[in-house]
Amino acid sequence: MSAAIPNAALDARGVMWLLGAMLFVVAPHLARMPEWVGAFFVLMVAWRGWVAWRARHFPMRWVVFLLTVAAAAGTFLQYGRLFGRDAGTTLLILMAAMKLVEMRTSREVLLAIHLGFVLVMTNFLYSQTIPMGIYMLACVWIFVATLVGYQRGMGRPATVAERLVPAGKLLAQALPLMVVLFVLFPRVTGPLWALPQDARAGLSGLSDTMTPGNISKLIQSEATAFRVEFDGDIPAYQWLYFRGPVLWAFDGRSWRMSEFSPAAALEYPKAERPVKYAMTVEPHGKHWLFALDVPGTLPPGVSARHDLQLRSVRPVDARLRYEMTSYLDYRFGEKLPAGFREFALRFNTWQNPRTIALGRQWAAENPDPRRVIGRALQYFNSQFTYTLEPPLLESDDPYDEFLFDKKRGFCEHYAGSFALLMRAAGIPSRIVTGYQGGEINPLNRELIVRQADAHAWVEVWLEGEGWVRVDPTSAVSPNRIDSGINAALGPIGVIPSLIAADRLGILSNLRFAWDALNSQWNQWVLGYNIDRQRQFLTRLGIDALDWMTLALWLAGVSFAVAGLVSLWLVARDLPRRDPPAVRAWKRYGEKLARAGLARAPHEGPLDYLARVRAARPDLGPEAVAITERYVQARYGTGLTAPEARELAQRVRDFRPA
Amino acid sequence: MLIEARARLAANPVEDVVSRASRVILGKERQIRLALACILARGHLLIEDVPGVGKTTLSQALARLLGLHYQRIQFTSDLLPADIIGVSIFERESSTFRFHPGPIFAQIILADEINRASPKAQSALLEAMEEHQVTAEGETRALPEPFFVIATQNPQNQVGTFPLPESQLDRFLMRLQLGYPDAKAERELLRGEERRDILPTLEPAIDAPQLMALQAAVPQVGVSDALLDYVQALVAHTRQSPKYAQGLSPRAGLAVLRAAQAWAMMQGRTQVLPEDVQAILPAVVGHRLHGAGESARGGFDAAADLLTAVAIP
Repeated sequence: MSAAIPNAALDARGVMWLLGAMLFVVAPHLARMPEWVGAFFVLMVAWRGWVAWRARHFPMRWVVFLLTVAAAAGTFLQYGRLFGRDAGTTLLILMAAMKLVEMRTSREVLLAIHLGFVLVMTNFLYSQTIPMGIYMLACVWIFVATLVGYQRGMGRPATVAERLVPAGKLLAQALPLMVVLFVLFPRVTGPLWALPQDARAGLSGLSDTMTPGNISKLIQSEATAFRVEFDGDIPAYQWLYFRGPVLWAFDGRSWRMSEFSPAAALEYPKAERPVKYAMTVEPHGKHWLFALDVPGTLPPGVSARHDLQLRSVRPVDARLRYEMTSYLDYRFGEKLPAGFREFALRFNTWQNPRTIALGRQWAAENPDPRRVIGRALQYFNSQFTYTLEPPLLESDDPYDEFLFDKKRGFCEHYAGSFALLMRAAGIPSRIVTGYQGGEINPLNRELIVRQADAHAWVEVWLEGEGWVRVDPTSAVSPNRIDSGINAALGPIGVIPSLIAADRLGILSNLRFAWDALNSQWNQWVLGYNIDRQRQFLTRLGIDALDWMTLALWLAGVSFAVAGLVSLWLVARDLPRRDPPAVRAWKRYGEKLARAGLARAPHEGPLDYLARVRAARPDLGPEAVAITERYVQARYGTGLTAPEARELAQRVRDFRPA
Repeated sequence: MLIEARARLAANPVEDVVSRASRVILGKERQIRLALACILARGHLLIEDVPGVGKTTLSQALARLLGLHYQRIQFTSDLLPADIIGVSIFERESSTFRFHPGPIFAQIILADEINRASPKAQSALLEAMEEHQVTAEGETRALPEPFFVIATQNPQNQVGTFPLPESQLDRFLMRLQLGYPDAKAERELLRGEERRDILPTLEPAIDAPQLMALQAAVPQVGVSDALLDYVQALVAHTRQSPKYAQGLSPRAGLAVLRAAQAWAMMQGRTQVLPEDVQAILPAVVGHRLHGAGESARGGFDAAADLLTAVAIP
């Protein structure tokens, strides 16, 4: 019963401001956390607000204690631990709420404000986009403003402007130092703190299986899969096949990646038309990487499987940038070992009987594989429709249903049924998934490949030629391959009427500008690692840096910048140099002051003249002349250059003492 | 030439008005000059002092010397707005209402003892001052040009007064205090004839077109940036210093500038000097400034403090 002290010491408006700042910084978390966390936080803040506003008593200590224990227990029950990204952040938010509830001295307010700064940082664990950066900056601003409100001392509570304006100025003054710290702070290889395991949940990307209907979700997504900067011209659309997972195993419905796939050297009997480019892949949490067909080089830490799929040693958890060379005109896999051949022909004979019969019939009519492929493509071309909203294939023979009844589908359907037809006809085949096409950002000549560009095609093995790419989708919808998915379907992802109204291309230009900005942000802010730092500093002429020299540079430049900012602040408050007439007038006043006739600050020139003439009639004519010139300069039409010189000369010659 | 200009201005009609008025109101040349500056700056004038120091005499002398058509309204506690503005009366022979204009329809209004009237009557006059027009029975009528109000009032602490609210005081460009005459002037006063008897003998020294031409010349008087700095410093000081209950409004700053221009013109100058601002400042801001705190000083003293507190930039 000891803890009932009214909160007279804390200014209610200041507390409200702090509570508002806390809500603001925690707001992005509320959507990510379980509902009870948000409810608990908002409730605690509301409670504290009520206590402050109505000058109520604080809750008893044992109530606070029980709530704290309950919050910690709730966190543990929710996540099964108290550390890690989600659990840790949740715990921090809940404890911040409890701190607010029990906060009753200025020292505790200060602590809560600093807790707020830490909370700002936790947002960074979840999102590193530009809008989030701006939001976090706003959070910092508000917390600094809260601090300003508290340090203002007693008396009238500060107004909104009296908090925000000084805080904004402080931040603006800190900006140069921030840039210096960012550029020069020694980087370590790898992230400073590794993201906890659960940070990887929910990343999108291709999958290692393909069942018709699987990619339809991806196709709708505007999310960026990767960006490509080409060294030189961007190849035509029909060459932009970015190879991802290669699917061999077929169970009558789904195609899967095979577990067994030995590594292979990238050696081709024919490799022409090389293309150099740099890929920046968004994190997708899987091991595979993408490259234009066919990859000619391997980035460090990456191996190539014998089906040319690139695999990274570590899953791609962070944005990854690597440089590649590919050959657009190639030949590979001329020899197909018996085991692989058998694997590339395998299918269940009891499923999809009509499809299998059709494949076998074509092979029987003309065993030349090229003829079979031609007939299959012709078959697709004549009767099928490309659509992103195909009917469901629910029977046990999905490819029969698709080929003979529904006849509507997208790349997965065509690739899957085409590969099955080939296998039935005795032609080894496999599915390649990846991305096709993309969008060229006219502002920076970057190719943006989105999840919507995900694609599936087929590779068939032909005697004497090796693996050859066949894209059955192009037989149905040539636009899909020639100019990208937007041309095949019309615009997607954005409200279609908006795009339709965007005749001038303003929207798409904005989108391109935004994407270019994001690309710079990714490369230079988020991706500013030890290599980039070294590269950037070398360009500035700072060379051969270990972290010690870097720290020295950091200290030196920081001091210099802080010194320059302080100098500027001091210089700004120094009085500006007076115009010449005023300087002459001041010297005249100083001379007279030595003669015992100092001018009072509020004394006008004529009054002063009258006093001087009364006291020293001998100075009269000179005083009149000087005063007249000064009045003309200051309040009249101004002085010509000779007149100004004359005034200065008269004042120099003036000898009252 | 800026300094010695005044001597050459003896023939100036304004100087003529000053010298003639000085014969009626003895020893008050400065107040007479301020009153004239107020009129030249197209402002209304409020004269405040104890009874018997010549408030009414000064206002009447000014009206006669400026050669304007004037009316005098004696404010009493039972004065009604219609007594000032006029009424419509039914005329039997024409069977119509005819408007009989009140005393407000004149070029100079002498509003005597304005704070003895009820707020209702006061506001009728003050509205006319602001709008230069009156509304009677739903019809708006313009007032003649030029139009000035010279109001007199007794100090607020006298019995039976309704003090003017600040918003209405603000409509007067200047407030003057006459004060007691000095010994020499008083002796002359006691010796001489009754001052009110001299009044009818005063001949106009100037006529309305001349007056309006002078008024039009006032805004042409040059104002330099340095002088604007000074006016701004004065105004800013009243807003920042804790010595004043409330800072001067932008309208007050404008009033200071306009009055200083009129004063400079009366001194025969084509540019405003800090001295001009200082000369008119107590009269212009005295009724707009109030000291704050326990040791609050009255308006005129507050204005005098302001002058010494602010350095000329």
